[in-house]
Order: sequence, then C-alpha cells, then structure tokens
Amino acid sequence: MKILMVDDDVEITKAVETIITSLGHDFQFTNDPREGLKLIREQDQDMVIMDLSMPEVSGIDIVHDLAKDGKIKEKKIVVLTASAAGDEELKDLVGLGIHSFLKKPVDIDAIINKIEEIESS
Amino acid sequence: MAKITSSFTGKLIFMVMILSLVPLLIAGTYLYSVEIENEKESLKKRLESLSGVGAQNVGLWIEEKKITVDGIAKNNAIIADTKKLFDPQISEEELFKSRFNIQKHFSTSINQYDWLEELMIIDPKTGKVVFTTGLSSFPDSLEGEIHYEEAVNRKVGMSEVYSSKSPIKNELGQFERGVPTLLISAPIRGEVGLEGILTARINVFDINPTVKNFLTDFTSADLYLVNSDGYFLTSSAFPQTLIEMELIEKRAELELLVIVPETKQFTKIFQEKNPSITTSILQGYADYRGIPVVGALTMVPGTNWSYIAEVDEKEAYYQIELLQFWLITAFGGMGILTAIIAVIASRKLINPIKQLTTSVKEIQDDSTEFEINPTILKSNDEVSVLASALKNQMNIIEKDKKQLLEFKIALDEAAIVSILDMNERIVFANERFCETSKYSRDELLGKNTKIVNSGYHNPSFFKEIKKDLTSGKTWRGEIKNKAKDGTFFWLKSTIIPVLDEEKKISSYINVSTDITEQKIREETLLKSDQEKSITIEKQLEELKLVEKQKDEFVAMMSHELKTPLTPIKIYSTSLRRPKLLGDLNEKQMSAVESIVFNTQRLEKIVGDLLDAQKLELGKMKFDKKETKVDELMEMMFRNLVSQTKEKGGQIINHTSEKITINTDSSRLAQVLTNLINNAIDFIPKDTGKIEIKAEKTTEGVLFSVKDNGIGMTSETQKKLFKKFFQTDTSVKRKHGGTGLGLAICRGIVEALGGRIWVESQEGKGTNFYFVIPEE
Repeated sequence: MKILMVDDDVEITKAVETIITSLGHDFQFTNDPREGLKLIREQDQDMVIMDLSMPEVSGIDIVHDLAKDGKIKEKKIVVLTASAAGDEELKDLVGLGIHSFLKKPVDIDAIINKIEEIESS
Repeated sequence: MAKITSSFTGKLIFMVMILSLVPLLIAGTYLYSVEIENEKESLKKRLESLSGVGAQNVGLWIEEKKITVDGIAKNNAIIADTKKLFDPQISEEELFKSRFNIQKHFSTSINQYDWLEELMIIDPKTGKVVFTTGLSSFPDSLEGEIHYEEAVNRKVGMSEVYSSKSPIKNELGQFERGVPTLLISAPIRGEVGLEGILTARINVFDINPTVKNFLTDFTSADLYLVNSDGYFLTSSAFPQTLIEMELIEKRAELELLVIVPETKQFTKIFQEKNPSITTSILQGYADYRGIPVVGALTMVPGTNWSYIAEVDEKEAYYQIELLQFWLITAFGGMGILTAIIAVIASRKLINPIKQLTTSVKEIQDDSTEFEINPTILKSNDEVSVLASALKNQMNIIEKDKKQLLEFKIALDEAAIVSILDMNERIVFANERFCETSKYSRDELLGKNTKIVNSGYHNPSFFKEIKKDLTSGKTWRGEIKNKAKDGTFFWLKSTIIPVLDEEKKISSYINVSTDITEQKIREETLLKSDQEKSITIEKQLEELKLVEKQKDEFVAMMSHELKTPLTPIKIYSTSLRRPKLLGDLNEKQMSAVESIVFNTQRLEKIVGDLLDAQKLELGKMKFDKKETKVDELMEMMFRNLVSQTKEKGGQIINHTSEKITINTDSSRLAQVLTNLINNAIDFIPKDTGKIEIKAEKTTEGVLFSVKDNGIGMTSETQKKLFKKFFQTDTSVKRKHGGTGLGLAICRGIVEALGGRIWVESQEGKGTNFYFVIPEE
C-alpha cells in the first residue's frame, strides 16, 4: 500500500517510517506541509497520515483546500493530532471528508489497525 | 395692550359681519337654488320637446308612406290588372297588356314620390314576387315577414330597416349592395277577396330631413333615430369624426351602434328608454362619441325606434354656469361691502376703550404717574366707571411694588440671583452674580447661561436639570461654573420654574450661594483617594497578565509534551508487538512494558493538566444531550468491575430507578471514573468494597461513590478539591496521580451546574457525593 505522512515533527515521521516500511508498505513522508499538499495533489496514495498543527500551512488549511474540489474522500486522510482542540473541530473535519482521526500520543497498534481497515475496504 | 384692543375690535367686527352676512347668505343660497332649479327645468323641457316632437314627426313620416302605398293598392286599375296577373285562363296577349299597364302606373307613382324606390306585386298564396319595377329579387317567399303577413291580414305593414341583398341606389344615387332600406306592404283587395300584395321599397335616407331639420337654438344639437338593437337609422351629425374613430366605414345607418366607445355599453339614455314616456337625462353622460352630453329620448309611435335628441353638456350648462358666476359675484361684492361697513362702525364704537387702554399701557412702560384722560372720566358711561376703578387699583399696586423692592434688596444682599428666559438666556443678574462670575451686567444680559459653563458636568447632568424644571419641579443641587477670568466657582443652586397664567413655564429663577471654598477642600481629598485606587488597579492588571501568561504556558507545554511522547509510544508499542521489529527476551519485554505503562501515566498527567487548564479558563466545551443515568451507571460498573477484582475488592451498583437528564454524558463519566479509580486506589486489599448509586432528589440527580478505604481527616477534606493537593507524600508515592483529578471533578460538576462534596472519617472509608441538576 502507498502511504504518505505529512508531519512537521521529524522524530514522529522517522518512527512511523521505521515501523511501516518494516511491514512492507510503500511509505513516503514530508516535514513540509506545502510539499505535503503538493504531493497529495500530484500523486496517488492509498492513505495519507497528516498532522494538524504545523507552521505556516496547517492541516486544517490542507483539508479545506482539498475539500474544495471534492477529491478529498479518495485520499483516505487520517488526521493525527496533539491539538487540545475540542472534538467538535475534529467532527467538522470528518464532515469535510477526512477518513478518520487519531490522537497523539498514538500507539502503533492503532496505526496498524487503521492501515488494515483502509487496506481491506 | 394694543393686542387686547385689536382683538376686541376684531370680535366686534366679526359679530357685526355675522349678523349682516347670515341673512345675506340665506337669501343668496335660496335665490341660487331656485334659479338653478328653474334653469334646469327649462333645459329638461327643451330637450324633451325636441325629442317628443321629433318622434311625432317620424311617426307622421311613416304614416304618410303607408297611406301613399295603400292608395296605390286601392287604385281600381291596379286591382283589375293584378287580378288578371293571377288568372290562369287569361291569354298571353291580355297578360302582357296588364303587365304593361301596371308598369306604366307604377312608373308614374315612382316618379311622383322621391322616396319611392321600387314597387312589387306579391302572390298572396305563395309570398313570391310576381312583378317588380326594379331589380329586387327575393328568391324565397316573403311568408313570415311581418309587413307581408300584415298585408295578408288586410292591413298596411312595415318591415324593419335592413341591408339590401341586391344592389340598390345609395344616398348618392349609385348602385350598391348592403344599402339600408325599408319595405311597406299593402293588400290589393278585389270585390271578392285578396287579389295580391303591393310591396313598396322605401328610400330610408329620405327620413333624414324629417329627423334633423329642426329649428333649435342649441348649436350642438344631435338628433338621430336608432332601432331596437341600437343601430342608427339616420346619419350622424359628425360623420367625419366617426370615420376617424373607425366607428363607421361608409355611413352611420345600420353600421353605428349607440354605444360608448370606451365601455362598449349602450349609452345611458338608450339603456333607460321607456316606451311610454319621454326619458331625459340632465346629468352629463357619454354619447356614442364618448363626449359628455345631456339628452332626451322618445319612442316613435307604432315602432320600436327611438328618437334621441342630445346636446353637449358644455353648451347645455353654459347658461347655468353663467348664472352661477353672476350670483356669486353679486353676493361676494355685497359681502365685502358689508365687511367694510362693519369695520368702520366697530372702530367708532371702540375708540373710547382704546384711549383707556393707552393709559393702562403706560403703566407697563413703567411711568410711575398713572393718569387717565379727563374726557373719559367725564363722559359718565361704563367706560368712565371702569377708568376710575382702575385708578384705585393702581394705588394699591404701587404700595405692593414698594414692598417687593425691599424684599429684592434683601435677597440681593444674601444670594446670587439670576433669571433665565425659556431659552435659558439671562434676563436678570443681580450684583452678586456679576461679582462672582466677574462679568459685567451688560456682558451677561441676553447671553445663554452657557457663558458660565465650566465643562465639568456631562450634558446629561444639564438634561436632568431641564427635565425636572420643564415638569414644573424645583431643582436643587451643586453646579461648577467658570468665571470670566477662567477660574472656577461652585454654586449651590435652587432653580424655580415660573409659570404664567396658562400654567406654561415663562422663566426660571436661580437663587444660589457660593460654595467654592468647601468644594476645593473636598476635591483635594477625593484626588488622593483616586490616586490610590489607580495604583491598585494597575497592580491587579499586572497580576492578571502574569496569570494569563501562566495559563498560556501550561497550555503550550501540554501540547508540546504530547509531541515527543508520540515517537516514544510508537517505538515502545512496536517493540511489544510480536514479530514487528524482532522478538524480545523476557527481561527486554518487561522493560518495554514498563516504558509503555509509564508513557501512559505521563499521557494521563498531560491530559489532566489540559483539562484543569480548560476549566480554569472556562474554555471546556460541554455537549449536553439526553442522558440515561441508570445505563451510564451500569456501564461504569461493568468497565471497572475487573479492575476492582484485580485488587481483590468488589463493586456494587445500587442504582434502582430509571433516570434521564440533559447533561454532558462523557464529562459525567469522566467524573465518575475519576472518583471510582480514586476509591480503588484507597480500598484495603481483598476486603475492599465500593458502592456506587444514582438517585433522584429535589436538587437534581445525586451520585455517590462510597468506599471502605483509609478515609481522611476533616483538615484534609477541606483542601481536597484544590489543585495539586494530595494527602501526603507517602500516599502520593503509593498511588501516583497529579493531584488534579478531584479539582477537575469539581470543575466539571460546577460547570454542569451542580456541586460536589465529601464525607469521611479517618480509617472508616470515604463517601463522595455530587449533584447534577436535571436541566
């Protein structure tokens, strides 16, 4: 499965890369949200794991931008957030077409379950 | 005073005028209505006679035609020759001779009468034309036609005017189809019976002179004849207009309907026609051209034709309008004349009174001497009595005036006095006002009271004063004013609104005392107080800022802590997962488990910090919805039963009733979990017992979590719900936790509108209670 991760924190992307590549998936990541948006738009992925609070361009900005042309649902975006924001805000994002969300700190089992869920759908 | 005399004169003039004008007006109105009625009656008579005589003339015209036709039918030669026409045994030669004779006879008649166009003989048995002088061809029998049937019954009959089917002569003598024409039939009677029917075709245009040639002095008279369907039988007086209006193509006869062009309704006069009497309408109505007219209508005797005489309304009412004009002019002139006489007469009557008032006016002008023209006093009439009474009264007033002056001097000495007019302009200022304000009297008089405004008071302050005064109340208070040299002075004022005879405010009297020195002392005291409070406010603001910075720091730290926790958790849970990063030995696995466990602890602390922070800032969001409390309690029980068993204790749910409230169920569950987890921490191993319950009370739903744990002192109970409080370090070590749990519980319960408390005795267990209101 082709998986893209967008998160400004290098340690998190490194950890997830180690695990997911050892599971045999095609994993790509970026720590630059602008680059992330470009990759989501230009390439095909089976799943996108994305942080919300990032400098300059936030995950919320990216979701709103993708929601404009209606292709957001095909992208299977799983939002990964440490934000203290309320559940309301996350529900709004689900309304805009993201696949689901996971809260930081997340354990690997939850990520693997999510991948298996999307793989089997 | 001049005002009073003039109004008196005015009243007198008014009365004289009423007395003389009322009869004039009544007479005028009476004359006016009688004259107008007469004029209208005359108009009605003229119109009705026009239509009445006209209709009679048309009747005579018809009668003449009938008699003439009947005369021809009664001619012996015609009778004899007609008989031969129908004799079957007659020879061809005899028949030709008879036809020749009839032709000759008929030609003579046609030449004799202009209106006679054609003569025919009809077979009385079949109704078919057997002889004609013209071109008329009636392919069908005339049977059923009224004029023919009348003739068969030995009478003279007349048809309706109709459009000819074959070409006949029109009004210009040219042959044309569809020309209006008319038939008259008479019986040709022999010695024994009916020999035939003589039918004559009449030139309808011949009727026009009879209808129209009338001697009438109406220049706009329009006289015309219409049939029962409302079609014109004569020409109109305005053929050109009608062609322009596209109402007719060739002629009015049988083309034009007597309808109003705009409404397509029959004209009013035609609608109201009455066969027995002459109908007339004097109220202007629209005629077939749409022009307002008045008119009369009479039915022509022996027919259903209407003779209508109409005159333009303008012309008909010209005389009446002229009369109206002259009557109004005449009465108007008389009215003005009466008014002039009334004015002159009143002046003469009022002159002595005027002289008296001139004397009275002098009192106003402040001349101390009051003198009355001796001629008035001598005249010995009502006016002179009035004058001497007035003189006595004046002497009394003079005394009062002196007394008042004395009061005024006393007041001037004691107080600052000013008088303002309605527009708050200074009309009087006493010596002390001038001294205090440092303005001269000339500078003050006529100026708005704003001249001494210090700008110290709000506009609303003056509005309040004005509100009191305009409602008639006396205002008392202190006002800060500004003197000419820019210094301020305080006045303690009493302002009294002065009412005139009509109870309206005419001026304001302001009596004040100077309280400037007292005020300066007060202000000095006030200033030092204010300075103190400003310092306190500043300190408070600084404190708030520090508090805010603290809040922001904690929020940011909680968020930042989660980020490094994430890779730690991912790596440690990956190591724990079999085969993912290679399998671990038992010791390694136990170490990893410990990392995972402590990561979770750290995570909970961060979560608690965030919750406490949100509660502190009032930023925690609550999602209230219908919550089934009994089901929630059952869920709490199930979720925590295994955890309690691990510790060797038992948990019992005592909730026995169904309870539904509107609240945030997940926050409620958070409070319960927190309290139960606390209890699990403190119950003794193996004999521990936790009882939970929810029940309805008047205050709301009462939740309780009871344990048989170590309990606590009343000292501890007091501090229990404070942030970062824990019983003691040993407990802390034993049970872990941040010391935020109970503070969060209290925050949530209070935010949901309830309250939380604890009952406990050392060594005998602890009961936590909280109440959540139903709504």
